[in-house]
Formats: sequence, C-alpha cells, structure tokens
Amino acid sequence: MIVEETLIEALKSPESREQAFRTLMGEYKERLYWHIRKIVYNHDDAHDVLQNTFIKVYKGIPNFKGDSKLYTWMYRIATNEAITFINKKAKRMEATTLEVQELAISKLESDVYFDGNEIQLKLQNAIATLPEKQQLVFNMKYFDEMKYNDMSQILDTSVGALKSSYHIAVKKITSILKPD
Amino acid sequence: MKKETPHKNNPYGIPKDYFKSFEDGLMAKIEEDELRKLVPESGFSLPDDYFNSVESKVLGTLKNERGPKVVSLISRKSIIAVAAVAASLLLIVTLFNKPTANSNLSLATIETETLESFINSDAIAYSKEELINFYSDEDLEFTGTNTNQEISEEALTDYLIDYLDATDLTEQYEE
Repeated sequence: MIVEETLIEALKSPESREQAFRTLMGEYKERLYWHIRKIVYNHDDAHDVLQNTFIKVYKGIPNFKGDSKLYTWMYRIATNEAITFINKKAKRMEATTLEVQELAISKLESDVYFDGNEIQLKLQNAIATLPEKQQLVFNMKYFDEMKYNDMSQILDTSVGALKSSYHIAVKKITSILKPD
Repeated sequence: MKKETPHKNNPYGIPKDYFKSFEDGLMAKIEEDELRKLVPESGFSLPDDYFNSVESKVLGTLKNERGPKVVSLISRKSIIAVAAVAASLLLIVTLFNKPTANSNLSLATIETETLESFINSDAIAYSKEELINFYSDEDLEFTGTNTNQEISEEALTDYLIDYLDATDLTEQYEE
C-alpha cells in the first residue's frame, strides 16, 4: 500500500508526475472500472468512461487540496463521469435514463463480456428500477463492499441515510427476485 | 427472589433509536445474505489482460491530447510590431492629408467627359449583358402602362433633336 501523501506529492511534481500517475492507475484501475461498469453495463463504454476519469484525475491533480482521500475523490469523478455518460446517451436517443439502462441490459444476453445467467440478468433489471442514488448505494455496498464512511464522502450523504437507502434497495430487489 | 429492574443505575448510554435501527439493520442483513446466496456475483466479465493495457492507453490519449508543440512562423510580437507600423502610417497620412475646404469631391464636381472616359475604359470591364443584369426586369420595363404617361409626338421629336447625335444616325443608315 502506497502512502497517499507521498503519492500526491509525486503527482504534483513535474519530474515524477508520469511515473506516479502510472502507480495511481495501477492501484485504482480495477476498483474504478468495476464501479463504472455496473453503471454503464457495456465493457467498451466502461473503458471510455474509465479513460475519461483518469484524464480528469490527471488534469485535476494540481488543484487537489487533499480535503478528501484520493480514493474517494477519484470515485466521485468516476461516478459523475458514468452518470454523465448515461444522461448524454439518453439525450441523444431522446429517451429516459431508465430506457437507456433497459436497452443496455437487454443487450447483455448477447454480450461476449457478460457470463451471467437468468437470475443475474434479473438482478440487473431489478437494480435499474431503483432511483439513481439507491442504485449507486446498492452497487457500492453489495458488489464493492465499500464502507459507509467512504460512501458518505463519495455521494455526499450521511451514513444513516446511506444505510437506510441500502436496506430499502435490498428489500425492493428481494421482492422482485423472490416474489413469494 | 426479587428480580432486578433492567437498566437501573446503568452507567452506559446508547444512541437514540438504537434498538429500532438494530432490528431494521438485522432484518436487512438477513435479507442481504439471502440475496447473496441467490445472486453472489454480477456476471460481468472483460477481455483477458485488459487491465495490463489501461495505463498505456490513458497515457497515450493524454499525449495525443497535448499533441506536438506548434511553433508559429508569425509570432505574436511580429504581429504587434506590424500592426503598430500600420497604425503609425495611417495616422501620418490622416494628419498630413487633411481635406481642405475647396477639395469638395463628389460625382457632381467631376466633369462629364472624365466620367465618360472612365466608363469607356477597361476599368469597368462589363459587357452590355452584365450591365443589364444589374437591373431588375421592373427597372428595364418601360411601357406606357407602368408610367401611365403618353409621350406626345412633339415631345419625342424635341428629345431626338436635342440629344441624338447626327453622326450616329448617318452611320446607322450607311450600315
């Protein structure tokens, strides 16, 4: 584990910037990718969004004041980029974000980079029915097992509200997947 | 045996609504565990070795965005210098070429002969057809109906006598 302060210092210095940025990407690329992938569904889209995220991180490093952890700051950028991507797609298609998500999920069946079965597809459909923030909370807790404190910084929401949001999301999804 | 009242003289405090949230949290945890048994993973996969190429792809895009540094042949300094010289020249010309009260130049002051020779010169190299195109059909249309004026025979004779060149007429008849 790299000491965050040392990494930030190296990222801000022109001599060590590129090497430090490589280290930063190596450390966080997988976690950020999977976070983005669960919002945009498709691998190519997730790659584009991940790339944009890292470019924004690179450009934003000189202004990073360290008020939050580097990890939560990058997660916030990734979340915003992924949501903006979906919203732009919806605008282009003159559709709602839910319709865009449903279309993306319907394509998963034939997607070579989706090995899920029927119940996994059903889960994705169930997640898509949740409000935007609940979807994020559910994915971050259920799949990424993120701590509520970190989530609170990323989503700018209190821990209590996040817990309650997650519980509601679990209930709703369970009722969709197990109606009896 | 007397049963001790629970919480009596208990020095420990608990957060507000702790027991209520404890129950909710516990129920949610049970539901979550059941859901995990049913769907433990998302089902998403990705190309082999994808993560090995992320760094180079991002850095490649960043380098392309920056692009090669373009050195302009005309620097900003040269443009400013040229602009300054041009402005100075304009100022000098304006100051030393002030129009006098007598130099009232307009079409009315130009002699007709000078104007005619200018029109006939190559300076205005328009063919008749091109000149006609400058006018709209309405401009060119000249009939008694749109003027609502009858030209009398006497007026026409006067006009021809005053403005028609005799030599032109002779040339027309000879052809």
